[in-house]
This record gives sequence, C-alpha cells and structure tokens, in this order.
Amino acid sequence: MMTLSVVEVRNVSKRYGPTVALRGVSLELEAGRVLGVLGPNGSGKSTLMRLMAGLSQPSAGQIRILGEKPGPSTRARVAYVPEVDCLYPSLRVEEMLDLQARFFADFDRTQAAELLEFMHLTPRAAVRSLSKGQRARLKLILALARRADLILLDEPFSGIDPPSRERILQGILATHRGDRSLILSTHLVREAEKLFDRVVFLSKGEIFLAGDAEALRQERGMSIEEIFREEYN
Amino acid sequence: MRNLGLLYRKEMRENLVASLLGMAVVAAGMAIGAASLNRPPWGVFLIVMPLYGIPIWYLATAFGSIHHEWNQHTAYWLLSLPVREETILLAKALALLTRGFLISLPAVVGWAILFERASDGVFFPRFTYTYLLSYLLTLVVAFMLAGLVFLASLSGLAVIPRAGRLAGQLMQVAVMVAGVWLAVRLTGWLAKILDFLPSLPLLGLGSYVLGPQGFTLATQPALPAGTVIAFFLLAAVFLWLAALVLRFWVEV
Repeated sequence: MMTLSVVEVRNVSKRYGPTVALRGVSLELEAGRVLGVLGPNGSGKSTLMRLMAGLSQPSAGQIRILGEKPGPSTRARVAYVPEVDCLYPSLRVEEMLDLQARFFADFDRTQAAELLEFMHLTPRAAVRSLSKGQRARLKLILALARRADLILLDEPFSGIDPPSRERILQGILATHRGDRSLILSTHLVREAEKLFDRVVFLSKGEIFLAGDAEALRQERGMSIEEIFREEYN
Repeated sequence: MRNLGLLYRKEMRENLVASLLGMAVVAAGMAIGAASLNRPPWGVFLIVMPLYGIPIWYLATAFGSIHHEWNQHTAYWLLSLPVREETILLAKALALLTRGFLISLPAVVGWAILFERASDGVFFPRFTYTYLLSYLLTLVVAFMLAGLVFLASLSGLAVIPRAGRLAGQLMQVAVMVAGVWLAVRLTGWLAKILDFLPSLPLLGLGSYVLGPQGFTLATQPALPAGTVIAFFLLAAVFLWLAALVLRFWVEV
C-alpha cells in the first residue's frame, strides 16, 4: 500500500536578491510522522517553514502540501506557528482564540480551554500584558487546538525561559496524535529530541544530512543532540 | 462573505480605541472652533482643518494598516489564514472607510450646522441631498485611494527583501505617482464610455471633489454616474493588483 506524502519538497531554492536562503532542498514526509528541521541560526530553517506554510513562494522547485500547491486550501489544513510574535497586542487571549476558532473549522474549543489551563494562561488577559514565554505558549495553543493534518512549528523554544520550554514541550507531547504530521524546526535539539521520527540538518540553505532519527543514532552511536553539536562545531 | 465579515470585525476591533479617540478629537476641534469663530484665525482654522486633515488621515492610515501588520509580525497570522488575499485587502479597505466615516462624522455634522446657521435656515432644505451626496462621493474616492495605497505599500514590501529599504520606498512613491496619474486618465476615459448613464444633479456644490476628468476645481450642475462607477472600477482594479502582489511577491 502506498503511503500518502503530506509534504513533498522537490529541489526548492529561495533567493532574496543576491542572497540565497535555500539551495536545492528536497524532502518528503509521510502522514503521522514527526520531522525535525535542525540547523543553526541563518541556515534556512524559517525560510523552509514559511514556504511550506504558503507564506512565501519558492524561486525554483516545487512544493506540494497534502497533494496541493500551498495556498488558501492547504492553509485550512496546516497549522503554522512562526518563530516571531504574531499575536495582535490589542486583543485579549480569548479574542485571539475566538478569531482562530472562527477561521478554522478544525479548531477544538474544548481542547483550547484545556490547553489554556495547562499552559497557565488567563482568557481575559490582554495579549500586550503577556510575557514573551506566555505569548509563545498562546501561539502554540492556537495551533495545537486545531485538528490539522500538518503542524509546522518554527523554533517554538527560541528565546523562551526553561519552565516555559518545558510547558511547551509537554503541550506538544500531550496533543500529538499518530494521525497528524509535525514538522519542528529548532536549534535547541535537546528539548525536542524525543519527538523526532526523522531529521534533516541544514547548513547555509542546503541539507547535508537527513534520515531516520533512530537509524542515525545507531549509526553514529550518539544522540541527535550530540550529532548536532558535532556537525556544527 | 463570512471570512470578509470576520476580517472586517477584526480590523474594527483592533482599531476601536483609535477610532473613538479620532472622533473625539475632531468633535472637540469643531466645538472649540465653532465657539471661537469670532476670534480669527484659530476658530476658522479648527473648523477647516478636518477638510485637509481627514484626507491626510486616510492616506496615512491606509499605509499604516499594511505596514503595521509587517512591523508587528501579525502578517504571519493573517497570511496563514485560509482566506484569499483579495478578501484580506477588501476587509481592510472597508474597515478603513468605516473608520474614516466615523472620524469625519463630527466634522460633517458640524459643518452642516454652521452652514445652516450662516444661511438663516436656507441651507438644509435646498442642499441636504447635494451635501450628503458629496460626502458619499468622498468615500468613493477614499475607497479608490485605499486600493492604490495598498498596491503601493505592498509593491514596496515586495521590493525591500530583494533590493533594500530605499528601493522599496522609491517603489512606493513610484506606484503612488503612476497610480494617481492613471486614475485621473482612466476615470475621464471610462466616464466618456459610460456617458449614456444618467447624471446625478449636484447644484454646483461639491463638484470640486469629482469631475468627468477626475479631480477638477470647476463647478458643474451635475455629476455623471459614469464617473462614480469609474472610481469603483479603479478601486477594484487596484485592490486586485495589490492582492496579486501580496500573493506572489510579498515576503513576511
């Protein structure tokens, strides 16, 4: 039986004027798997995530998300959490959640309420009054409360204090089900290592190492975090 | 339509406080101006100020409503919605018009009261229709300008990551200048094609806002309906082009 590819990236390049952000990147992800996109800052992880989310167009190559070119119809089935703070400061937490629920048919309000409690957030709080860690948790709730086929998390632990990181990781683990795919980009590998089924290592916009996470561990006799340190030091 | 309504509500909610504050400032300016009319030049200045201030507000707010999303990174959220780019921009334009309507309302009501007093009660029976029509026509022009400003802003944003900030700013200015030139030309041309449509009587007042060749200072007794339709068509074209730029070239 053929396994459906949730993500197909074929020889994708992305240029910004003279700067090449991605160069001939290809990867594939089957349904229900977790892919780690690893690399230091500036390696092209966020560019790749934006392309898959349909927020940016590749300069060359092809991307298929759930069999379609990224656009409004794939965005309805993909939950994307960018690295940056993308919440409206003038709204309250509950208003942000309500907006998300109205736009996305797969948003589960019960799950959102549970996650709010788990992440220690108050619905009536104004977004502008939240700390950086709290806003990162709220961004995550917006994505994890959806029953999306694919979740894209771009650097969810970056710039976050350790207790918030732990909460975020617990939130991801608690909501991850076998039927949905997850792509997580990070340079903080230790926090997320236990999630990965597959990993790709990026450097200067190119994939130089990719494979099954467990196979890589056995082949190298070290953890993914140790491979990461060895490759980038 | 549902997504348009949701995005419109989001825009209005986000700018609720600023809109109410704007209304209060204009109302206060009009009240102080009316109370000090016999002390020139401040009284007259405050009363006339919205006539110039509100168009500038429209332009600045239209630019701001696009750049704000990029500066505070909310464009990431906005562009990850399962919504067409045309819907996002139309919601922004409609919210901008509503906010402009609210902010200008105290001035429009204030001017009407002052005209009524100055004309010893003659203004309202004779000019109510013309006055209201002129006001609505300024909203039509504002709608077209919103489309043009969105196109210019997004063209600038498309250029910045590829060629730098200065090139992006130059692009914005170039699109604005070309857009205004095109709007004046096309409005006159479209109005000629649509001249079989009936004209809206104006009694001379307000015709300085719109004319068959676009903006003109010449007074005229009637405004061709074709001109109004031409402005709507241009607004739609500018919004559609802006949506294309947003879909294919703008980066977050």
